[in-house]
Amino acid sequence: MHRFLFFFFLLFSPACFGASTENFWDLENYPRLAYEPDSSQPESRTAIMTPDLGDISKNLQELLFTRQYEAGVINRLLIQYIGRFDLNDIFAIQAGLNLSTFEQWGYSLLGVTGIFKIAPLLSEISIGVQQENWPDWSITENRAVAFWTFEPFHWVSLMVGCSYRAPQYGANFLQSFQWPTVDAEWGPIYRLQVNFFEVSKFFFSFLAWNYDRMRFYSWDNVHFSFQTQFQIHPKLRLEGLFTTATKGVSGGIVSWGQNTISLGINYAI
Amino acid sequence: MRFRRSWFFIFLVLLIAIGCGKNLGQIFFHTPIDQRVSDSLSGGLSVPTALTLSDPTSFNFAVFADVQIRSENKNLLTRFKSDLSSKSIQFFVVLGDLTEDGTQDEFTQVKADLDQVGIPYYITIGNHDLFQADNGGGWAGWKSTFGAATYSVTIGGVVRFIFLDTSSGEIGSKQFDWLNSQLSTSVPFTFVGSHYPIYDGITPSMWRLSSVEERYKIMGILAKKNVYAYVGGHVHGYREAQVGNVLQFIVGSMYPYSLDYGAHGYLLFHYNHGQMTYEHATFSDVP
Repeated sequence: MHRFLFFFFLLFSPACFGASTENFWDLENYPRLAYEPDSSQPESRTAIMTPDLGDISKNLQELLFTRQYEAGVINRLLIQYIGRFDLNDIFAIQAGLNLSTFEQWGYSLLGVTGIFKIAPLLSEISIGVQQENWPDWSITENRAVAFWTFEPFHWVSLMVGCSYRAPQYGANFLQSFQWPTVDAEWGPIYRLQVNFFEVSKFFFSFLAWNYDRMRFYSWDNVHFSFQTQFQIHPKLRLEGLFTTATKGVSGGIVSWGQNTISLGINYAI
Repeated sequence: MRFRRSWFFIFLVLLIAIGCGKNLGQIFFHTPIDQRVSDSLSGGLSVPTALTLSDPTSFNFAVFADVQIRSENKNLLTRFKSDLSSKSIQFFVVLGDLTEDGTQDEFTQVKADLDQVGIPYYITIGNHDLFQADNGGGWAGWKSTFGAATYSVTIGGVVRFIFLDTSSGEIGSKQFDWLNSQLSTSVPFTFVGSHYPIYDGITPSMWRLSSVEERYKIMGILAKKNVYAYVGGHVHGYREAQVGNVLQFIVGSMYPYSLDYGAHGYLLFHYNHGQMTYEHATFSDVP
């Protein structure tokens, strides 16, 4: 199934480029979920492509139901909430909460990120902390992340940064807020999003990442996603995300045993 | 602008697909992990038997990896053999990458080299050993030359080696189930050995199991079942750490060429009347 998804994507994406849409490059018609231009002010290009939304999206709330499958490792349904709160033109806060069902029951992730918006540079600088929890394995992981999000063009978003992750084994809830160093690891984080096709109210994107919506993987465990969104209301989009990932890159023998399907909604409050 | 973006995207996809110059067959198409594990556990492949120790209360054994012989058959096994007597080594373990390219000729040659060391040995498969896929080498060649890659052996009733096949960078569901069943019985010192390590230091390493959750799952199992140590290779160097209550090793490399770090050598364990100690034995005379 995972091989089919990957090669379907390889075949499908180039074909999409042949299709023409009148509004493909027309910035004016690119839907803005939350940005209401003030006609009394000159329009400034402050568009920052926040994850999975093609344009500026203040106060974006995302709710996703994610079926996460990794052969032999995990098979569960995650209920993911990521909420962004734009306090002003310079600063925003993002909070995340994941609940796990069918396996690892309970809270799976807590996180908070501070976002500094640098509109003239089409950039955001984010700093965050998260805790992820796997109660069946008696493991929690604390991590700190810092990354730069840059939208050089309207159809592409780049994110690069670094992280520090510190797992704890057998810790209780209070102990799990420590930062042990024995099995800790520094690492890069990255995310590339390319919006490659748009027709009517449908939007299609390709992503390559190891960090997305506070879910974080090692840098060689590359995740590839095909994302589709449908705008049903100026402030509301439906979203589908289909993801597969590579394992074994360092050995030159690549496996594709991690597959995820997410369905959800994006809403700007 | 539309066409520029199209070509950029196609180029990006092709760049990923080509993958650093390796052919797609080698990268993507190989016998799946669950199939390899099924083959190993089917009973149709040869499985090494436990050796009989002359003194089961005190014995030494060596663990290393990444012999990686090529057509010119340069290797450090002869150098290792010279240590057998001085260090009283009774048997040895090789954690994968016995060959460079996984061809049948290389399998035949390295088996002869290992046999020439002259003491019993236990091996498992590495990523290099899968490289030829099923074209007369790879998993088919491994099966016909060495037999199973996933198996367990108990030495003297006190040391157990559980070998996992992680040659494709994953453990897989069948192997996890089998590991849990093996660990339902206890032995004083249980080693879980495989090619890919779990632990590889604080710097961002691509040389251990890629999936964080896979690492955490196996760490959870090892900790709950009081496994003494996890031993891995793949990294051409030596590392050790105590992670929770489980020792984590990258056993040092017998790779005959340049190393990722450190000196050529192997991990030497000493069992003596219920106590286990270890040392990293290096070849100071090998550049």
